[in-house]
Amino acid sequence: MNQQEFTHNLVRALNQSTRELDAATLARLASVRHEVVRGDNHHAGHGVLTHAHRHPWLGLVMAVGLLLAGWFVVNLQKPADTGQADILLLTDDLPPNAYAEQDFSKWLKAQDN
Amino acid sequence: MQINKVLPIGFGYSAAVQTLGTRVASTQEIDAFLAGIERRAFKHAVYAVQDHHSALDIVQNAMLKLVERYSEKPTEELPLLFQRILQNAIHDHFRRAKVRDFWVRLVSPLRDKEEENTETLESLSAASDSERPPGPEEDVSSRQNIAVIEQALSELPARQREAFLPRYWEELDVAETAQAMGCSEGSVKTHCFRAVNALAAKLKGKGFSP
Amino acid sequence: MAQGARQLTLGLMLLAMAGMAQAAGFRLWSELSPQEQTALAPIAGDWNHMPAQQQEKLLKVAKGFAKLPPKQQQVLHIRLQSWVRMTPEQRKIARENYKKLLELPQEKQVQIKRRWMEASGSGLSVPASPPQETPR
Repeated sequence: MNQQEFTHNLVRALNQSTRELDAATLARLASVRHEVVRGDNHHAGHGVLTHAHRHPWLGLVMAVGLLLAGWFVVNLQKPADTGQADILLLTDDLPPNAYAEQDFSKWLKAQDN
Repeated sequence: MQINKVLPIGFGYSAAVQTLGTRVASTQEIDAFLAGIERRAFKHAVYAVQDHHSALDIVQNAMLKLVERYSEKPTEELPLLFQRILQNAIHDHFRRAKVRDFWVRLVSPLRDKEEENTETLESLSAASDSERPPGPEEDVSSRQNIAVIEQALSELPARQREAFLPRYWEELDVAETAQAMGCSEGSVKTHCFRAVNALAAKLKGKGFSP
Repeated sequence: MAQGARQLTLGLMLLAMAGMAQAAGFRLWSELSPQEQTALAPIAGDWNHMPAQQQEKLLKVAKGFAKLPPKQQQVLHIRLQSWVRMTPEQRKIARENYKKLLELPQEKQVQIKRRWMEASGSGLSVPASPPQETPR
């Protein structure tokens, strides 16, 4: 066994070990990450909040605007499409990796001519 | 993605994402990146500090720091940045532990620190064994192998482990590893060389050989 | 008056944020319904550390899973693992290319697919006639 194989085997074992992490730890990691990333959103929002404090009516208008924006985002995002299309992709003749390949993109482009 | 233009600034996407053409990491990308790396980061911390609870704290601190300081960075730099942050978080842990130990030692000088560490590691592997009963297809010997390998990694000197894991597990190149470790490329090669030799020696008697 | 308006503002903002959080809801594997867990079984191990956005898309796949004939369900299960291991960019490209492919006439679609199979030496085969289940 040369060094490359050796480190390869080691890393494979390490990867196996991460797959065997218990559910509690995995959940904990996920919730920590979720908190941290969501916390960033609140930081970004601080600028908006200080404005609201100084001009309460402006803040009200912004809040309503945010509600509307939120509604638009949820409803006009075309989420249904993605789910449907994904199922077709995943049950197609070709494996999904095929569609991500550079060659595939090239062949498709050639069809435009 | 159209969405960046619909949402007002400050609602979950950094303002930098608005400028297309610069591949700055969006909040989603950072979330996806962290999701991909959190298990390995946790394991890395466990090998270093040998305690699940502290390891979780370390990973949390590392994630916080990445999001707080580096969310405006290009996506390609995230892996390297995170490795550096993770190593710093581990060092911070030891710094605090040293201070704590100093006072603890003053109070109870008869405690044997070596014994303490070994106990923790044994109880750790015992705990993780009991959490998952082996399935029918389970290769019992491979689980033993994993335990042996993890033990060997934990026993490595810190710098050797800190070179080995980014280089071979995270697959950073020598230059990136040097940046993550805050040392020269020559040092990285030395630490890696020693790490591989030490691991090979430890695992020799147990069925692996380089 | 200003105090009341401020509180109302904060309240509405929290409501908006909660609404957004609900829309992009992160769920633990244990919180999924049995049907969802059946559909997504091959990626049970990865589920808890996927971002909410990715989970949402997969839950939509899970929804359609029950309506698939058993053979297709098998195929989907086999493909799920590699799907989640692709990067978000790769998945995006795959979706775009798939969409473009479907816009081509049937002949061209078969031609391109055959070409990929030959190039990859995969040993798979494309049915010569159009597939029985036409996408609607």
